[in-house]
Amino acid sequence: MLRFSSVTYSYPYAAEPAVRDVSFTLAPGEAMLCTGRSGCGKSTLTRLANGLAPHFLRGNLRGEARVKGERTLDSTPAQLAEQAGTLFQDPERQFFALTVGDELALTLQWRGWDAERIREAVAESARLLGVEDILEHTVFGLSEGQKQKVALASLLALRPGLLVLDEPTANLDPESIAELADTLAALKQRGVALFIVDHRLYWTRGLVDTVLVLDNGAVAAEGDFSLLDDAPLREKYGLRAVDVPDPRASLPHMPRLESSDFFACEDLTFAYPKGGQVFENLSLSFTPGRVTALVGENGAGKTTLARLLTGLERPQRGKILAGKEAVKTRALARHAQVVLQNAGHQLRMRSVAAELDDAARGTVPERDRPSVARAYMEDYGLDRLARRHPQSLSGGEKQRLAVACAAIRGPRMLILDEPTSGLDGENMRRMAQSMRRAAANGACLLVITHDLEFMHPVCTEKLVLPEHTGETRR
Amino acid sequence: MRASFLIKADTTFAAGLDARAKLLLCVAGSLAAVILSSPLSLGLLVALSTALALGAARPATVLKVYLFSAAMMLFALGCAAIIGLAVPDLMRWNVFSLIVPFLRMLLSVNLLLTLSLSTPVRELFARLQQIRLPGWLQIPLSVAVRFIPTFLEDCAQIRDAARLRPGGKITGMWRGLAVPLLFRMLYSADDLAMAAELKGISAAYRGQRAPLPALKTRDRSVLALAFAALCAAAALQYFGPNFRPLPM
Repeated sequence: MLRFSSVTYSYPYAAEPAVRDVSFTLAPGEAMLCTGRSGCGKSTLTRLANGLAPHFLRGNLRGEARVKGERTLDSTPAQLAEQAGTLFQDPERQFFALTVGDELALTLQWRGWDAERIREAVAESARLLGVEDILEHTVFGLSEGQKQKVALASLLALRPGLLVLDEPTANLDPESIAELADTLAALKQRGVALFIVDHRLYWTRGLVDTVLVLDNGAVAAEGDFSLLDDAPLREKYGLRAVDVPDPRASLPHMPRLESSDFFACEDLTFAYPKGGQVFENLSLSFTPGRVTALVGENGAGKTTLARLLTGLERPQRGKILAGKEAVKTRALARHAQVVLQNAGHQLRMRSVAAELDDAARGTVPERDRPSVARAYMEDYGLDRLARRHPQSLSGGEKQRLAVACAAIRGPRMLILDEPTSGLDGENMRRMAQSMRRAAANGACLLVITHDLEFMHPVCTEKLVLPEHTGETRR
Repeated sequence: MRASFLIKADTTFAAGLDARAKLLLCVAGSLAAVILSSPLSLGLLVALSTALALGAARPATVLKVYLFSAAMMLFALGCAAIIGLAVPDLMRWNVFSLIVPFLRMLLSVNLLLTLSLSTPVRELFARLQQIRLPGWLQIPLSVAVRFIPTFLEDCAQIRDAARLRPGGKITGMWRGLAVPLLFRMLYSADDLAMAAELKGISAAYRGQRAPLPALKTRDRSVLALAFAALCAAAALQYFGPNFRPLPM
């Protein structure tokens, strides 16, 4: 179904090839996992498989990639998509319609299918993915797991023989990951070939037949899943764990304190305009040096709580206290910082060093700023990158820089929203280290994460938000 | 999805119009904005287009967009004033030289608001495909329409990020918004173009096209009214009072 023969590919203007001399074969009904460090060439392989490289991205291709026997060079990406459907890391980015039904029909409509054939194909793929009951729903109101299913159903409407999945679990909670694994296993049984690129490994045990470990663009190791049971190999190539315990049940609840002279909120009440009540009389007290996992279903208000505590939303009632003093919403950024999921949004200077210097402005005395910025660069493993433009960094490096920029402001409360989404094992461990360091320096950390592998060694307690009740379980 | 998410209602008067009628209004309005220069002619068209925009969006939304337009206008005036300091002869301020560009902008804004707030993207794509514009024009146009909600979402996230690290000076605020937005726009545009390519957008414009459905009575009435308004505006331009520039 998919065959790479000595494929070497370079992006335009790149000095080095992104992948070099890669060969493999994937038969119908087989599943292959491709993993490796960030930037090792995994995503490039997906772009070669769906024809975006070199048709759309240009660049130089040597060797050949074939989908269902046809050279990818001889077909356009649109033609290849009929044989090889591609699922993006963020499925919302590939939606072009408002409702689920429209999204499933759009690709077929663009390809000139007649109405009756479209109806049949949409009904079949919706049934296959279990989304037939939400065909009238807007795609933007769905959970991440549902979005993933809708995107998959949209691809399957074309009945492709191959699915290319680029980090499909990066935004999913553990329950949705388990559902995705079941869905993919069912598709595999129907003869669909699966080419999966992911950092998270544990969920593919029992699903994939072959594992390909890439390093610096070349195949470093190939075998069945048991290959990944080799801990030194995982360490060498910066991979994640293959067995991940679920710490959510065993983590102790955040202790209930009557008051905190460090950071607290009292009687917070908040509702979005035209939305339901999110919190009513919510009171929480945080302790320095602790790393708290903020846990809850989709829609429970985890991100809303982060926005309230950092002053990005104004509560209808209640107050937020830093050192027992109520702080105005506008002044909260001085005491609480949040690192957003897309760290690139927070980076604006010309170099990493300038970014840290700018972040320290207003909180670190001017004469101390260069030395403090240098110390943070060393602590967060950014010293080698001091002169690089922040927007040119990899995802993991941007995340680390964003955390360093938040920490250098010395906030009492540091909140991280999915800090390890899309990070490889090495960068995830670095991020864990950065967070422990920030906690050791006296900050209180609140982490919104679905990443069990990250939660397990880092978080010391949990704060559970039940869905839509506005209560907390501690 | 609608081209924009500023409103949620789908039952407005404008939502009942065919996308072709709205596209035609946009093209005619843009041409009128370029050709007409009489404040009376433009005022007439702005009044009618405002009624149409209010049929697509809440008054508060329309007002916000007007305020944004006014802010842009003031910014442009500020820049012009700076140029005027160096070349005083170039800048002769008068009331009409300010009113006419503002009316032109409002006319375009009203029609674009009507189109983007009341037209589902799928309908817009289908109509663009059916009216047989060349692919090199339709593909970027379709992706550009889909880009609007992504752009608005990116703007909101970047504004939040900027609030977390107050810039202090204007340059800091500017950098906090402009730099991430520029990079985000480049990434988003690339992502969307790739997604569109994989969905077969280029195949859509090469393949067989469905026949165009006939326009409804409502569409024909609005287009007839628009034609009459354009004729009236042209008549006002050529036969109406001649406005002399008023000094400020």
